[in-house]
Amino acid sequence: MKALCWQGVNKLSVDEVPDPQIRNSGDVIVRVRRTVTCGSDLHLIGGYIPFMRAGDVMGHEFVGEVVEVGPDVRRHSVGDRVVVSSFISCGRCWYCTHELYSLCDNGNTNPAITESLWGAAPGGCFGYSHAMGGFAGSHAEYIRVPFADVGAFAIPDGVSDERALFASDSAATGWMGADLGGVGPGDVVAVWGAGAVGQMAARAAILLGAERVVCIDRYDYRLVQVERHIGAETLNYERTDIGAELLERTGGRGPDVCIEAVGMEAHTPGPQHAYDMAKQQLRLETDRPAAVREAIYNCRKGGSVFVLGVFAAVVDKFPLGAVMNKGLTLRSAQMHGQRYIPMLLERMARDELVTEHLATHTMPLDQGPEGYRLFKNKLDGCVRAVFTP
Amino acid sequence: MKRTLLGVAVAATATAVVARRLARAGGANPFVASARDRWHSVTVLREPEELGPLPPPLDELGEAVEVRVRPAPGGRGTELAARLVDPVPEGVTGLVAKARGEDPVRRLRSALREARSLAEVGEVLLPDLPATTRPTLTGAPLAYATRHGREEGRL
Repeated sequence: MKALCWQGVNKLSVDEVPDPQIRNSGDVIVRVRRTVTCGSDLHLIGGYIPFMRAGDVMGHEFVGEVVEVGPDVRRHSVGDRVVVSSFISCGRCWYCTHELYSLCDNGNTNPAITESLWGAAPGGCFGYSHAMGGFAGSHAEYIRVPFADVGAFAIPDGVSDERALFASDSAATGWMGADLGGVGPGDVVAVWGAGAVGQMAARAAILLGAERVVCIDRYDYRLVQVERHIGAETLNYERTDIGAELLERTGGRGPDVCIEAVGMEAHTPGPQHAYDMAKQQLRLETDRPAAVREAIYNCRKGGSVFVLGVFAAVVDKFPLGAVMNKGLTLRSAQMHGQRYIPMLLERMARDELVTEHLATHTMPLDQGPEGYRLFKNKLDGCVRAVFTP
Repeated sequence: MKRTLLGVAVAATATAVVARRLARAGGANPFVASARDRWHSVTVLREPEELGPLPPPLDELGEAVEVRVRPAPGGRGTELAARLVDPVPEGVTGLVAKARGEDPVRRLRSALREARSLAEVGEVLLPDLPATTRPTLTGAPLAYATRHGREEGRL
């Protein structure tokens, strides 16, 4: 079959690779109908997460059709149209039974790498390096889905592939940030990053009853989407004093909940960016945490900061003093998709949650490298590039 | 700036080592004693009587291991611990054992992880096969690490 493969730092190619096989009794094989780029893929492509091998298939956010089922699969049959959580979780361990699915004890076949790096291993993830299990990704014609009864969900008839696609990761991640960040009625919420995840976090905050939601980014084409499709306010940080604006919009308090949806390659105006770039390129810090710093600094006293962006290891100039002295709650996670996807699909069916606008570029898998070029370099108004294998 | 995989991998490894040293600095002195002959533990979301005294595949290690099973607090299931009865090969002997694939600590870690998966899920999750990965020189260290993915780590 054809697949979009990582071949080295900043090198992608579409190649012939072996078809996937059923390996465990709970597996299904899915024919991928749509699969989408994610900002966190850029960390892999750029070599910032150094656990990829040449030939690894990229991609973790997808929908498709079940074409083969393992002997113990109960909830799915050949022909089912499914959306699949990007994280691979058993559904049986303590973490899964407490809805902390991305922390699954049994979903990662290479726990040693992340145990050594982080102290404990999260679950596995499709197409997200050998640190996350080395599972082949979804930018391919077919994909093996382990624990399919737990991680694959039938798409309701009223929900299109185009919409359901983003329940796989972006919408679930965004919803988690608002939910576990503690957003409730009357809150003012600030979201750093107006990509797909940031937009979904903002929409989740609105649906959870937030009084006011503000999205922060530097690309107007994203902020226009926020205003048009999400219904949140926007700020362009290249033209606005974000701290002063947030204070003004919150009566001098600061946002109750600050959600960071940027990750380890953050940009920011001023010398801070040059400092972080230099340290990252010299490997004196692995991640650039500018948006996390801003979220912590601007959050109100006693407020909540949720880090949705992907980080690999260590950061510099982390404002721990602000966290401590302002009494903040800082929380983060890879996404617990299985916890949210059924609810998200219901909301999609009711048109409460729309996502089609995120797919600004749809193209055949053969054009995958071009899709990532547009996506990475923010060209042609690209929010997400979707591939149709 | 040119970034090579090797450089990135070395830096990441160094970062991980520093982070581990820093993390340990607040607790026990990491340089005092080897941790290779201590108890290795996993918590399994099953009752002790469901696990039995010697859950598979620990039973395959026979008398080479001592196994301890006790309830975990707070409804977290069962703490399953095991340690090797015989002295653990150290230094050059230990490296040779690893090279030959005969390191008993690796076997023990893998058996504990597999015991948890078998008890909780009924089977052990397998990696994709055939792998799509292409062998390269720069990928060799990572390939080695993934071949021993359940045998190393902090367990």
